[in-house]
Amino acid sequence: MLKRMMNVLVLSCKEATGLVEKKQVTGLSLREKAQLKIHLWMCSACRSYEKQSRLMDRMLERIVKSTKEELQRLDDSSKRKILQRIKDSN
Amino acid sequence: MSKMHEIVEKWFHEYSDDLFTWALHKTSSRETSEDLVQETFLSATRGFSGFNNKSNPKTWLFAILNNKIIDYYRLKTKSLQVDDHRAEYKTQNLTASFFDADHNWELNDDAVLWEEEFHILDNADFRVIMTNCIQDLPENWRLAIMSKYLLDKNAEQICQEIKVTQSNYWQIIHRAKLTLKKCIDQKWKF
Repeated sequence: MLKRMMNVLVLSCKEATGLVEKKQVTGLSLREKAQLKIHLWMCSACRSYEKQSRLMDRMLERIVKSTKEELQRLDDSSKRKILQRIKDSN
Repeated sequence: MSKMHEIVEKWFHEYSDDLFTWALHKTSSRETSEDLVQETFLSATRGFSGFNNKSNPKTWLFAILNNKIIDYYRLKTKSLQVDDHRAEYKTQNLTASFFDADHNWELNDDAVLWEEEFHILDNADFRVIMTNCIQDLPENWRLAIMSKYLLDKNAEQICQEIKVTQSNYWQIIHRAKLTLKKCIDQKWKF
C-alpha cells in the first residue's frame, strides 16, 4: 500500500524535468502540480534544472531578439541580384 | 523595358525592405528570406494581369509573400521529418543516458551549478556557449525552442505551424532543453 502510494506521488527526475517544461507549454493538472512540488522539494538536482531551464529561456529570448535586430535589411548586392531577375523574367 | 517591369521595379524599391523584414521575422533565415522576397516579385510579374489596380500593391505583395511563407513551412516540416529523424534518434538516446535505470539523474561529483553564477545572462562566454550549443541541436528541436520568440505566437499556434501535437511539443522542448543543459554543463567547466 505504502509502495503504491509512493509510486503515485514520487516522480523520477526524468518525469519531473518533463513536467517543468510541460508547465510552460500547456500548464499542469492539480495532480501533476502536487507531484512536481513534492519532487522538487526532495531533489536539489531538479531544482537546479528548473532554474537552468528558466535561464536558458531568457537567454534564448535575448539571442533571438538581437539576431532579429542585426539582420533586418536586404543588402545591396542581393537587391541588385533580385532586380536583375525581375528584369529577365517574362 | 515594359510598363509592367517598370511598375514592379518601382514596387521593389519601395517595399522590398518591409517584405524582407517580415520574411525574416517569420523564418529567421536570411537566405530563405532573400529567396522568398525574390519569389514574391517573380510571382508578381507573372501574375501582374491579376493585380487589381484598385487594391494597394503593398497589400497584394504581402499576400503573395505570406503564401510563400506558408509553402515554405509546409515543405520544411515535411523534409525535416525525414532529414532530422536520424539526428533526433541519436540525440534521443543521448538524453536517455543523462538518467540512470530508475530515470533519476546520473549524478557525478562535479555538478556544474552555472545557474548560481552572478548575472550569467550578461556573461559573454555564456552567450557564446549557449549559441554554439543551440547550433548543435537537430533542426526541428531548435525550431521548437526558438519559435516562441521568433514567431510571437502561443503554443497552440506554434504547434499548428510546425505540425506537432501539444504533447509532442513539450516533449520535444524537454529533450532539447536537457541536451542544451548537458552541452552547457560540459562547456562551462572549461
